[in-house]
Amino acid sequence: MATKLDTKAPVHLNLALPQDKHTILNPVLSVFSKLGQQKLCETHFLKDVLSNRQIIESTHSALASLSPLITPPVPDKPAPNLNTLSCSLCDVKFSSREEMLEHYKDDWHRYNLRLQLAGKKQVEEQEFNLLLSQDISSISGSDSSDDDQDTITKSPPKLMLYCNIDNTVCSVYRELVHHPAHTPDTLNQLLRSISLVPERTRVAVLMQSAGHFAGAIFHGETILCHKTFHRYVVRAKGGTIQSTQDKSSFARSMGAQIRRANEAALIKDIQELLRSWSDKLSKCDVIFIRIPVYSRQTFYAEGENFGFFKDDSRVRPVPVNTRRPTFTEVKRIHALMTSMFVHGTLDDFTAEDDDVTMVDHTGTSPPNRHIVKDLFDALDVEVVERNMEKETKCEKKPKKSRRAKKSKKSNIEILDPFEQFFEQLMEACGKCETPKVLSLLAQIGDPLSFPEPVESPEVIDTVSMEKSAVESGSDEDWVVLEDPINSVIEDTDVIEDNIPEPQEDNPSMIQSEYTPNTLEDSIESITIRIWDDFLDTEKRRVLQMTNSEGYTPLHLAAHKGFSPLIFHFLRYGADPTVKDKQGKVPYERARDKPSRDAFRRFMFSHPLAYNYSDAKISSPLSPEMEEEQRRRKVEKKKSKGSAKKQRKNTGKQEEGEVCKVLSEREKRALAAEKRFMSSAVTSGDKCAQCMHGLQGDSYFEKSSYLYCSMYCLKKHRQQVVL
Amino acid sequence: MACFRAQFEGNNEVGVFSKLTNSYCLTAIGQSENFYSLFESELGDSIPVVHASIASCSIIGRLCVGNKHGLLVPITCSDPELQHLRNSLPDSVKVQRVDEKLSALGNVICCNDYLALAHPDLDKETEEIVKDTLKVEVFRQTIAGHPLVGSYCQFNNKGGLVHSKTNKLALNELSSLLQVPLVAGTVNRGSDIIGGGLAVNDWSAFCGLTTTAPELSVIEGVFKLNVHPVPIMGAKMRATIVDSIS
Amino acid sequence: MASSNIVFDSDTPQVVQNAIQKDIFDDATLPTIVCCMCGESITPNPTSMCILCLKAQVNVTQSISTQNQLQWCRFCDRYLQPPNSWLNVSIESRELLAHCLKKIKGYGGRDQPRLVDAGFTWTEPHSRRIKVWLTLQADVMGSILQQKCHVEFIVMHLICSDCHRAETNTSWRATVQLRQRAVHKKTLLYLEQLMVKLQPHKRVSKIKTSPDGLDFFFLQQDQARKLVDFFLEVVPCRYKLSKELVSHDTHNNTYDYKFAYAVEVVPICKDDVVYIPKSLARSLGNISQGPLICTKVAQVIHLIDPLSLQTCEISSNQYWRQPFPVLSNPKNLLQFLVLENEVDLKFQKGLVRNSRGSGTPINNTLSDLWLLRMQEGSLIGSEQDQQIHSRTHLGHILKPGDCAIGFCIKTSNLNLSSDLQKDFDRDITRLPDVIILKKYYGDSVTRSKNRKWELKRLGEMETDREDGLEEFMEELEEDKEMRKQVNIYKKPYAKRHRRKAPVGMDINDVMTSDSDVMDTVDSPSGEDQAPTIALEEMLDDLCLESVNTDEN
Repeated sequence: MATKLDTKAPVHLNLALPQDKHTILNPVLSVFSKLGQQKLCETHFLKDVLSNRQIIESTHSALASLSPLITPPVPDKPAPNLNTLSCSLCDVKFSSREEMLEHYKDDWHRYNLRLQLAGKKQVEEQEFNLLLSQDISSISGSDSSDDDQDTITKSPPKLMLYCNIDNTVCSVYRELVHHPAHTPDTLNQLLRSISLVPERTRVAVLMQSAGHFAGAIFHGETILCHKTFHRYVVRAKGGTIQSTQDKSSFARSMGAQIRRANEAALIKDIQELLRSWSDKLSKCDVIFIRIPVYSRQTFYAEGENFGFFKDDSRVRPVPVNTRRPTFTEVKRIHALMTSMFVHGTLDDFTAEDDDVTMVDHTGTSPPNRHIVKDLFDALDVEVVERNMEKETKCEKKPKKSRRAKKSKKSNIEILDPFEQFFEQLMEACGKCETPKVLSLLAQIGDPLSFPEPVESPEVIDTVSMEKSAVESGSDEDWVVLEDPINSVIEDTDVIEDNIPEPQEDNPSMIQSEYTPNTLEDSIESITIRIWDDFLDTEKRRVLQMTNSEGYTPLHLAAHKGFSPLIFHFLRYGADPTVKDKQGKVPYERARDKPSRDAFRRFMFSHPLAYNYSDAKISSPLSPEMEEEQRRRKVEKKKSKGSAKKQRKNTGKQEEGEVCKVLSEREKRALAAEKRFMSSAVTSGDKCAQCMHGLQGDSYFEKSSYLYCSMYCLKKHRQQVVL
Repeated sequence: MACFRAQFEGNNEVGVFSKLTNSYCLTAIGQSENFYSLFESELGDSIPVVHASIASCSIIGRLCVGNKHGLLVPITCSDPELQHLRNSLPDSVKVQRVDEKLSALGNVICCNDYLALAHPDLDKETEEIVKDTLKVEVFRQTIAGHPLVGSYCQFNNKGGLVHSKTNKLALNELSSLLQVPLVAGTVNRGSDIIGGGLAVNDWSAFCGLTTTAPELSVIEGVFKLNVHPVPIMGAKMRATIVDSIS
Repeated sequence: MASSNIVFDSDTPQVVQNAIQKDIFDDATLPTIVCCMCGESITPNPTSMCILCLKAQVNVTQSISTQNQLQWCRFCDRYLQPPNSWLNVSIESRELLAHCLKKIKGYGGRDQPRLVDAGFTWTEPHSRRIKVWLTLQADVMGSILQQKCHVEFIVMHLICSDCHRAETNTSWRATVQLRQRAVHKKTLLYLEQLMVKLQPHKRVSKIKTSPDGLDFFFLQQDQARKLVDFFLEVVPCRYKLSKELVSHDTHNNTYDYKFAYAVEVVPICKDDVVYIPKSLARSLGNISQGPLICTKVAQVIHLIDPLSLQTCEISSNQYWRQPFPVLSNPKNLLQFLVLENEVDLKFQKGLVRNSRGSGTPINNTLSDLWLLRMQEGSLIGSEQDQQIHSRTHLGHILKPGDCAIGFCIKTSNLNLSSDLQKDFDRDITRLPDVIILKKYYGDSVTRSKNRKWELKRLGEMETDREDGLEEFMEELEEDKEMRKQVNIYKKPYAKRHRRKAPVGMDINDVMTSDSDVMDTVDSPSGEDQAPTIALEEMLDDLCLESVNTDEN
């Protein structure tokens, strides 16, 4: 082989040669010169490794002629060592080939390969085993799709392991059983706390992180109430909340100011929410809380009572890592925390996990390689109960059922009775269901007896009007009542034994008059059940309650223009001076003149009932004044309007007068009749020619006939002429 | 037999357009028959040379993986194509469709008749299928830090060629794992994509037209394609030449 | 193909460390592979080729245009920089290299090699080829190749528009009209010689003679202005700028003018007699108003009072503020024979006027002369009563028996202004009859015959410009200081003898006469020997045309 030639002697041959003479050199010399160049390359090479530079001077023309001369060498390197029993990636050596093959199929090796591809450092075997105990998802080769899961770094969950009589290993989160700081001292205590768990159906989950807040109160599986909000608090790039940032440097940027303001607003929001939830929270059995250190102050503020305290044993941290506080996350956490995990039989469990020792009540072990499942539904209640009986006999912690009395589980959300009542009232009010409103009002108690200097006959009149209105409305609108009833259905068996006697006051008497069927009974019983606990004065608070717009029922009635209701509300003590969110009193909200007149009429009849100047009601309206007004209006129109209009007006006026004369009930009947007539006119119209129904605006009128098209008009005319 | 240079419609990546094993050879369907006819002429008397397409693609060498025991095709392979393969290949060869996310099986798996290297992210199920169908032991490995083992190495039962940047230790480990000598090298005038540029079985190899003489000699050397005792022939020849001259 | 020298280089820091370089360091762990071209064992690199093969495969310089052209104007020695500017750069200069590199295409862009170094390879100027070598670097598959190559430029002739215009003589943008309104224009001649020597009018496109001076035409105003500045610097003169509107573009408010600088040189020459206004005389150290003799006109006018040896200098500004007339006229000058020269011992040349023996020595010698009037070589009236007395500043030059040239004040019609005339009338009693201006060295015809040198002239030769030239040349011979300012050329041999000797003169004579020249080196041996100029002061004139014509 040419490369075996001694290169030392002829090296200098080449160096002295001018470049362009290469082409005419004889082949042997060329070989020499090439070798010389190689030598030169090497020397330069060595030098440049030192100086971090590489320069090689030579010609390519000579080489071009050379390349065919050199025989392609057979790879002359020594045959690769086929007995390298090692893995350089994992840095291990093996004694036998079997061992090596075993390693190359190992999860550890594969994990290291993946780390290598991700550009990370490889891990030791022990480290890997540790990782394996925490997180197995990334090892199995098939889960690369759920990358988002990997972003949550998982920490070992705090599980309590139990073994029941069937040798089934189950686990629940320790936090469900007891507060992590208050570990029961004795086994009995622990058992007691465990046995209490099934009763703990009221669970609140509160989460706050990075400007997000999510909270919900659960009763069993149902959500009593929930709320989420978000404020821009965290710097997008900095990643810390502004107040934390401010500790190091107080930024004055607009963004920083916005974040600061938002932080304050967020705290306010949360505290307001907690305040409104405080009574519900106080009833909660467990409160899972996931809040950062900096906002502890928000939840345990001085002088605030949100239904739980700082050292409350009901308040427990969420033992698992959570994602952004959202409603779904809250639900997830709730489901996770209140779930039991079944790990198969004890033998299986121990066989799988050699290194998991069954610790009494703080054993940490992963819900390993088995489908984690909520088995509440699958569990047989009786079996569970039996297990519970025997649980004390078990050496290991016995399995227990969280919901032994599943059958008694209530499906119904328990709202604040006041709120519930208020909602009903508002709903009825919004639909102008006068009888219902009256029935509800009746539950509140008596109409207030206002100090009245002059007992005018008018008052008696109005009372009788109310009565008659209720009576007349009841038949007509009865059907509508069903829906609200359904919404108020309660778990009757819980309360059946303590239904109180209906109060024997006036409104309830009225109510009983028109509630003939059994359904009505139940409604009544419900309403009574709700209300019986409260005094009348307390109940009247409902009338002062406000909805999201700040409307009281009186506001709503005024807004909708239900003048009779206004009068009733006022009678039952709805304060006309309450302002809504826009700072308007009900009188200002009044939609039309009749509703305004209702206020004024009430003012006339009860001049001392309310502070009318605050209620912004201008002046009392006596019947005489009304009459006067009406007459004046008529006169005005008479002088101005055409004969036709005049006729119409007088008709109306007559009608109005008739109305006035008629009782409330008759009035309503008249109105209904009128409504029916008008609807018959508008909807039941037919084309005079083709007799097709007229729809929309596409018809027109011609000499007291209605037509659908010009064609029909022509036809009809011809017929008439004929 | 020896190493041949071929070109598929002007493309030198022979390993992309063909799949060569000890019991069959697949070639892509192209406009011209030159590629096929070269394979046919060199291999036709020993193993079936079959026109094939997978998912209507001609890059069959990268999509499927196989050895003398079997052939794995990706899920994208259509039923007629699968049927065609089953019909054309010897009965001893099991043809199996694999539902694998890394569907270019030829790029992620590299095997001879006994052992296979696979991409670290390959599904476990796929690994099982590879084990069963190809009757090989499967090892997850990377070649010179690349997970695409099928692209960067090529080995038969006698030897193998890997990416030129594979470091020495890894080369030794690989060769002891595979129990065949491995050499770092190039094909197609310096290309590191060995699997793409080279199709090889135990007695023949096909590489791109641009493959240079030194590369050819390396390929022939490492895959042990020159088994004939050349020197004797050379001596004879020389004798006859000398005779004729004198 | 010049791409013979390839250097492997990786020292440019801005380049991403090339792969080969990187591999050097983890060499130990990498296997050796065979070079795909030659089978050499190498460490792996992106090309899988050994360095030598890589060099053989890649030609860095293939994108470079190896032949280019340069446009060059041979009249003004400038190179065209497209589109229409011209670079005044010298050959092998950095500027020319930059210009050439701009012309070369195919480097510095994307996917093109980078320029690392460049320079000229020497070529003969008359070959009209400029060779530039370039060192280029290119990234080739992760490694950096460096290569040197040559680019040849052919220098093409292209007359620039300026030269083209100048050659066609059709147009000018600015003119300088140099004038001296004097009887004899020795100052002008002196100025002309200065210009010959200093060449301030390089860019002049045309020179035209006029009766009173010269007209210089330029293509650009600033060139004319430069010449005017030169004039203002070397002689007392003033100028007036006038312009004529050629065209006016109303759209972009540009005006196109022709400019004319009228430069007027003071009408006073050397050896002129002047009478200056009283106020001026007062301001000049209370010198007498006159008659004063002008000894020199350089940046300022140098005057001397021949009666008191008091000197003064009048600047251009001073003159133009109060111009004063010249009394003498070369035509009125008279010859006198010096009979007696009584040197005033107090005012001898070399003496220090200051009594303390400090200060500058005086240049002249005051003396009383007794003269006899001469006319064409003969005395007029040799009697005692005909003797004329005069005082002169030339006491150190004149000796009894010498001829001198003087000016008779009392008999001349002076044409002074009324003020000056009044002063003059007052002074007339104390003035001598004759003012001696200079020594007379002999007949100008013979002097001119003996002259072995000549002057160059500007513009075309015209006969009317010859007057005064002879006198100027005589002055040059007499004044050594003046000679330093001008270029004096040896009169070509043939020219000299053609004029002097009749046809058929012996070559020996020529030789002897030439050797005569060599002998008479600034040493007036005889009394009447006119001063000559030494050969050392003369220059050889390169006059190719005349040689050619002689040969023809």
